[in-house]
Amino acid sequence: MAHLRETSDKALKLLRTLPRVQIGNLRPNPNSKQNDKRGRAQHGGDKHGAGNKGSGQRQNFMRLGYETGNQPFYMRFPYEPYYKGHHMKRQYPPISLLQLQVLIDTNRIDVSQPVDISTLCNSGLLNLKPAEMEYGFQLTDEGLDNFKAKINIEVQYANEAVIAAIERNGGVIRTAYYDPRSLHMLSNAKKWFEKGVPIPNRMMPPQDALDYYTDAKNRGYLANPEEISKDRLVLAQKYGYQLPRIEDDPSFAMLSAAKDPRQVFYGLEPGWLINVVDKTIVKRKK
Amino acid sequence: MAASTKLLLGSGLCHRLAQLTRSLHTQPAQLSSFRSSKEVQSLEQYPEVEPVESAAAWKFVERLLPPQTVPRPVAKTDYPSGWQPQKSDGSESGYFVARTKNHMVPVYLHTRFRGQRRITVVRRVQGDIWALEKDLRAVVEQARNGKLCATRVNELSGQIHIHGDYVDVLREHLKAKGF
Repeated sequence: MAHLRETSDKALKLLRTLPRVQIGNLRPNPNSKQNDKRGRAQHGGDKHGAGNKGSGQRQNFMRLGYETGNQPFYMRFPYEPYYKGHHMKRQYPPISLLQLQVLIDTNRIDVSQPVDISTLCNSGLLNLKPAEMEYGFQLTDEGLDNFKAKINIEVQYANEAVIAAIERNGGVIRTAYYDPRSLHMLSNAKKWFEKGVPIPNRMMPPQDALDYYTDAKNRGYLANPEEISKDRLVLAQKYGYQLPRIEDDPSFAMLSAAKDPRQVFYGLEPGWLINVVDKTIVKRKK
Repeated sequence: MAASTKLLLGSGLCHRLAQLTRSLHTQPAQLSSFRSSKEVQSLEQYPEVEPVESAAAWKFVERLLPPQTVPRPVAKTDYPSGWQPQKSDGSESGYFVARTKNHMVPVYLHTRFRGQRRITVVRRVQGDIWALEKDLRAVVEQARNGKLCATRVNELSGQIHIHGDYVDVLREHLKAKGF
């Protein structure tokens, strides 16, 4: 592309004829630096946009909701139930099927392995903040018709159309609960291994999430597998597609890979300690 | 799916699942909080451990380590998402729009003044930027039914600013030209 870089070549050519660029003959662009001093009186002093008198001039910014002596709006009504417990609610940041397909097309996700939170976070394009009550990802149905990948994916929430879109392509979807500590481990597994702490057990879901994750319709990880296989057929009939037989699939071992409900990482058992530097796994002596 | 059930039954996971769910419905607080776990006991009570080198499970650890660089896209027959790799090197058009490090087309929307001013920015232009500006302006003017459109070219940094939100139009145009 050398012949196309004429502009930068011209600039470099010009630079060669100029005196050497060094700290002594550099200066900021004109008007690029803003003076943060507010001059008073004869040193350029006027109102400076703050107006005349009062809280504006004194820059006495009132607290949020304060109405200068009125009963504030937020205190006018004694009972506001809509936001009760909003700070405790579990958040599930969305990823769409379109986003997932883009990640697969641009080789950010390896579909020959099961996909879970750590795979999504390791792509470098998605991140999860368990400290801000984010309990995992929800898969949304945007780009549902163009989704063509055969994957084994584990998310924390998915609706019926998304489940159908995954299963139509011969894939497997599972919804699973992770406690915040496990999410923290999954969102940056390498950093967590560097702590040198044994892998803990994953916690069971709280009572209000239990019904969701034991339901075969949601492909919950605590649901009866026989009920799930029955519901796969029911969903195929409802949406009118031929359910591919994953038993006959060459990648059946990958598609049927599932974590234990008390396990955080695929293939790594609770109690093991991972040494990333020496590439060893510290296990119980046999 | 029946075979996967068999697989789960074979590993005892099915049985364990049944036990777990039963105990969950009867004992709500069990196993759902780290506060319910035991405190650390004296070290003699714990089993001895040993480091295992080149363990069979190491491949599961490697899978969890993120790649150091952005992976290169693999050539495929079709890309269902609409993304496609760069095909043109700009030798016939005289200009070249390089992909970003994430292999995306560098067309962005800048919003200023609380969303009142929307400017489409095409970055990473190399070569004859004025020819590209002419082409893009024709595309945008067609999209707005022949009305004129304002553009600005920054030759040094290789950027073209176009008044209005034409991100999708221009991205599709550049992709169609192979960039």
